[in-house]
Amino acid sequence: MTYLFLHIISILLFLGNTSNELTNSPSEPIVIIVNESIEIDQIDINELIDIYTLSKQRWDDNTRIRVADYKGSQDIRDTFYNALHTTPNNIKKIWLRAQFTGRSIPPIVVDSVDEMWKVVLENPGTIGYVPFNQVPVNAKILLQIDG
Amino acid sequence: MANYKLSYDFPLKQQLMVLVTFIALIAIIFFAYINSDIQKQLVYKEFERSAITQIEAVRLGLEIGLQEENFESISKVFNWATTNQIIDFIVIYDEFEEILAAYPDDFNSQLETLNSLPTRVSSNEDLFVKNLPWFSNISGDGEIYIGFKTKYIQEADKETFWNLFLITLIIGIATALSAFLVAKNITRPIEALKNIAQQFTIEHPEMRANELQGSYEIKVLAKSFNTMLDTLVETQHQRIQEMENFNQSLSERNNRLSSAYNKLEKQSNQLETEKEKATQALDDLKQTQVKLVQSEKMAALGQLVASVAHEINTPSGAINSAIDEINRDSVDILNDLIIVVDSLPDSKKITFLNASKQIIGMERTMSTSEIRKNAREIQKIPEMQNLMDTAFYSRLLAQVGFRKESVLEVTSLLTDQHAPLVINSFHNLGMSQIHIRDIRIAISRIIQLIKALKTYSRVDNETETYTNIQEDLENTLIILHNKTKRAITIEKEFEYLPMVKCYPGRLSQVWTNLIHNSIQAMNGSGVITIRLKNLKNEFMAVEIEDNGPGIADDVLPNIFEPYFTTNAKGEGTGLGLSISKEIVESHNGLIDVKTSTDGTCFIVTIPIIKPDQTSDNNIIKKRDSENTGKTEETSDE
Repeated sequence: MTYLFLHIISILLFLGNTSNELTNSPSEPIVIIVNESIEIDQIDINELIDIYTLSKQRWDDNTRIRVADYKGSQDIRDTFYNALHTTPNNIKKIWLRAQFTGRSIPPIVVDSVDEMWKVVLENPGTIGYVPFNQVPVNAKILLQIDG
Repeated sequence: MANYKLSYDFPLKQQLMVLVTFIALIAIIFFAYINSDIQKQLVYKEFERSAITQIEAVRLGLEIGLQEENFESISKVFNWATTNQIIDFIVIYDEFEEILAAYPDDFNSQLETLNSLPTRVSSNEDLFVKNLPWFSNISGDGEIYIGFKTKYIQEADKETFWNLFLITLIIGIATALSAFLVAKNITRPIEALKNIAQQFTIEHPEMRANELQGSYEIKVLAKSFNTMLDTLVETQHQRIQEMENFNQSLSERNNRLSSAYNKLEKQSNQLETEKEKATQALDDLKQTQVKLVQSEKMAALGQLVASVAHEINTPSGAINSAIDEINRDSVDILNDLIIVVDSLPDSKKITFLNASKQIIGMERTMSTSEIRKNAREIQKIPEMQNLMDTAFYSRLLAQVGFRKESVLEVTSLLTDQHAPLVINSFHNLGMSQIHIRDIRIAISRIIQLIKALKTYSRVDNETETYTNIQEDLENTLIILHNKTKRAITIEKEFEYLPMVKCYPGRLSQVWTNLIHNSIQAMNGSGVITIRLKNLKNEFMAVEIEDNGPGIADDVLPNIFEPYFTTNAKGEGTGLGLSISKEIVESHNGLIDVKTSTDGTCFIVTIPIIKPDQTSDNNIIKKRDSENTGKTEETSDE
């Protein structure tokens, strides 16, 4: 019963996902953003890989890094992980394994850019990525990845 | 009181206590064991169920988390798993059976495959491993393995066991204690009863149990015990009373027995007297019987007396007349003698006397025809021719027994003129001799008769003697002569028979009875055949047969019964044949009768008891010689 109930919930959640699908052009650059409070101005791609494979978990000021990502298969996501030389599935596997080690805080997965903004702006250690043309005003851009 | 040897010295109280405690402990241990086992099974089942629930939760969390890409929820699953004490490890395999994620960390470093998992698990006995398939978009169809620590359950088990042990111990102690108390409680009154029972004796019959203490059962028991004691005392009293009564009744019975014995003795004395009386009566009866037999004989005799008297009377008359004749003749003889003797010359006197002597000695058994023949011969003698009436004188001479030869001897006397006188005197002398002969015959007849009567009337207390049966038969016929002489012919067919040992008087009675019966049966006229038979010197048989009308069929079966008679009342006793039968049977003999309309034949058969050869031989021979020639003759001419 419980099992069935959980399934229904998951289906409902899935249906909700499809309504806010992003339609970014693949060629558009991606910008890595963090909360303003982070005292780092820029990172390189290797650092970014370390952060998203959860190898690097703290900022230099010892603030815990919180990774944010988009849900489902979206162009921006593919583009992003292409830049990181990996795939969303791999990342997911890594993240899954990382959860079982208990050493990392779980990444935040969002549905839309607006939500990404919100997550990044509201949580100080959070790192996310948005399309270049939709960068929020009070977000710190650490790196730009060309599509 | 009897001291019963006890088989063991283990008091009831302790027995009860030990028994109750033992049973309680056994029950508790059994219960505890069962309970712990059940509990263990329950715990294991519960554990398994919770394990399944937990692995389901892990799978669900994973699937939903990956589906939703909600790593926070996955992290929560992880946090839950790591905080869960019973989970030893979690391994999540992908579709290639490679580890996708694992807890704890060492799984990741070793990068173990699914195949290597069992080796790890089997080395750890404290693990309970459960697996479940799962699916995700990143790993396809994978498998979740969770190892659960069973140590927890084992600890719980141990705890349960110790708890139970403690409880058992407490209950056991409590049981033992209560058993002790209960046993003490139960056995105390029993012990009291025991003490009372031990003290209860004939001397102390007042001992009683306390009925007021103890439980209800004990009270009842005490009451029953007291009732039992009461009954016992009462029974004992009764027993004593009964014993006394019994003794009393015994002595009474003894008295009665002795009185009964006395009575019996008296009765036996009476019986003895009665027996004596009976013996006396029997003797009397026997004597009476003897008397009766005697009287029968007497009756028979009485009947015969007349004929016997007549029989005696006839020769007596003959004697009388003979004596008269002799008387008369003697005068004539004397006259004649005187004349003759006077007239005769001396030479002739001697001849005369000699002739007279010869006449006295002459045989006079000649028949009439013989006499006549002698007379004719005498007539032819020449000397007789001198006489005037030769025939007359010849007859006179012949009548008194003279023959021709004897006359020729006295011829000298006949030539004389006194010849007729001589002849007359010869005749008279001869006639007197004939009369004397007749007297002799008569007397001998009377003697014979008297002898027969004497024999006949012998009393029965006589002894057995050797007897000539033939003679006895003759005697009987003599006695019965009066009855037979008129119209009855007696035919005798006597065979030679030796002397027979018997009671002759009794047998004579038999013969008399039988012959008398025959005479009566023939109404006084007919033929009676008497046969004496010698059957190979073993038996003698006397057959008395008449040619009368025979015995009627309705009479025949009764003829040997006493007091049976066909005669008119008063004529006979009716004992004749029955006595005859008895007599014959007393001689070990048989009496039989054959009868038809042509006559009746009684047959008496008696065994011959032979006399000893040495002692009686002579007598027999003597008697035999006497008997020869007497057979085949008729008594009645």
